[in-house]
Amino acid sequence: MIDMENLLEINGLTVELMTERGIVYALSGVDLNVAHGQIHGVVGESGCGKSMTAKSIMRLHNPKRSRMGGTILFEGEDIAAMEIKEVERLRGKDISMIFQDPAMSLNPLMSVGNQIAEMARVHLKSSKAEARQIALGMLEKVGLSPAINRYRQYPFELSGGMQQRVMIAIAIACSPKLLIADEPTTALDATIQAQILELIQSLSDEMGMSVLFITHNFGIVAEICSAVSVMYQGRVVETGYTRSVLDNPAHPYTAALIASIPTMALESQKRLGSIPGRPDTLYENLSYCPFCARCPQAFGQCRNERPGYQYLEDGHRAACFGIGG
Amino acid sequence: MNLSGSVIEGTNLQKRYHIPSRKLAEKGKELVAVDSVTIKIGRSRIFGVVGESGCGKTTLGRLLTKMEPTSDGTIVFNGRDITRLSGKDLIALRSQMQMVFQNPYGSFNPKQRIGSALAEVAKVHKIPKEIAPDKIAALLSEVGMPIDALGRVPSELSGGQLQRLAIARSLLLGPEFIVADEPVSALDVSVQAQILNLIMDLRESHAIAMLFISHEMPVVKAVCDEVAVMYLGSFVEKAPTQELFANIAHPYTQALMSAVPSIDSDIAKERIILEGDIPSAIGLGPGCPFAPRCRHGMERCRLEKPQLRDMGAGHLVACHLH
Repeated sequence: MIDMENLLEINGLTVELMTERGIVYALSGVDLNVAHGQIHGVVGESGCGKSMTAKSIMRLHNPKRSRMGGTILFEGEDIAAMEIKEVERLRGKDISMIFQDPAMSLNPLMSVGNQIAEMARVHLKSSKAEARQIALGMLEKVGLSPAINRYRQYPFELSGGMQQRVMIAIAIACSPKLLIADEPTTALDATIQAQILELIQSLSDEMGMSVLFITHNFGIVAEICSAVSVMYQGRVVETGYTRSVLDNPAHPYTAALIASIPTMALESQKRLGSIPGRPDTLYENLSYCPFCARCPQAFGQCRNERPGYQYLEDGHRAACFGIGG
Repeated sequence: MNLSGSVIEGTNLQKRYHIPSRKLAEKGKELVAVDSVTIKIGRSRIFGVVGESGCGKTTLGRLLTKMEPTSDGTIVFNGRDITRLSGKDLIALRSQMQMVFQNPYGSFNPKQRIGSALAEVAKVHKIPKEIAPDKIAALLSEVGMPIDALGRVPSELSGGQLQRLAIARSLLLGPEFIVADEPVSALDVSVQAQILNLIMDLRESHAIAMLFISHEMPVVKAVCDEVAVMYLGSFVEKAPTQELFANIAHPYTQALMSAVPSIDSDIAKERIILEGDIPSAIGLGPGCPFAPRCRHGMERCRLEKPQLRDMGAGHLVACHLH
């Protein structure tokens, strides 16, 4: 992955949250690059920092209760260092976001068409008539037809899958360069999930839009992401092209996670691989490998030092002392 | 002892709900949540039911455990007809049938210590005070939890730990039948694997018959002996696990399978993307419930509902194609 190819480059991103129980080290040095037009998966378990990373790109943390470090280069400009006014210029226009529960993100009292049109009114300064045309076009694009009828409907008249299509229509109304999708299919049924995944993939292809796809499901990553980053305890522990990571996981955490997935290829009634223990709390800024307590291959160095990245072929890298040593 | 060897047997179970509606078009209509389902689960067997939201899998579990009365059909538990059981007899039966739910935080009182929650079960069902603590301690170690968990409240435990405790609680009364309703859906993958392994171990050691409800094909395949696929209240396909996944016959099962995002690159699979949403279960027509979304839908499918037919090897399919 050469620099010129990247739309988004996150380097050493840290986020500390001030809570009543003390500082939470939510992100401790995230490095992540998303190439132009790429669907980049971010996987990990609850609390690993996937959503926190997404929120940081949008600068959605409360500045009074959090501290951010590192750089987030979007088309060469550092979002982390921007004035909030400048960030607002990007939000919804160049970078937009969709979430897990569409019902919670839509305005229940506004027709879905108007919610899409609002984006064009605000960000593209379109006239009412133009905005309406854009909204109708978007409804068609996300497969909600006939658009004329759908325009007038309210969220409660739509199923979860259709609501998520509306969310996507809102998100892409201004042809963003980057779409951040935070577990967009987790609340949907399997057959509906398949529809939404196909939609996101075809939109990305068609519009040349990069997608940062946050999920806990490796299967989804394998289906639609060309590259993937695996997160653990506020860090990206492994990153690379999807097939390279899935076929040859270099980090013991990635390997263990993959082994614990029940797959269709697996023989029935066999024991699944599982990871003993659970992640530590994030109240400490660790000076050693965060996975060492659960790692079957941990040795002395792992408990004393934080591992840097070891590079494998084709941009595949992992933060583990065990590699190549 | 029962002769058929099954712990629980439901025959032609049906559950209908009346829809009170002001809309004229829906007036007097019924929602058929479970339609003519026949199910039999033997000792130490895990029977999986897969399907999407609203297919009736949870209602089926509630019917079998007598949480809800059936509209039609019979339920036989250990050779005894319990279809019309009520009052004291039903309460006595509860100790032999337990449920484990999806969200363990929702199934424990957030203010009550785990120890007290478990002791309460023992007390209600009259397990002698001298035995209860030992029994609880033994179960705790069996589900892999330290004894000091008893002093905790739910918010101090992780989802996986709490689900272990929910399982321990369900085993406390020595049930013969457990309904596990999406027991791992709320858990992270690595924790999910731990719980699935635990369930497989316990089924052997406690000789339990289990109804395992899930929306995830790979999870069902991993733990179940037999699997039924449910769509809008009916079983559309039922077979021993190996047989089912080796010869998937129903178009809905095929679509469901193809919708499973898979990490295996070598499985060249045909992508079947179903169009539209799952239709409402209110006022279903006479034909196959899947016909409107089925790519093989024929004239006959819209007129006549296919019945489950045995294709051999215990593989039952409800489809006019077969």
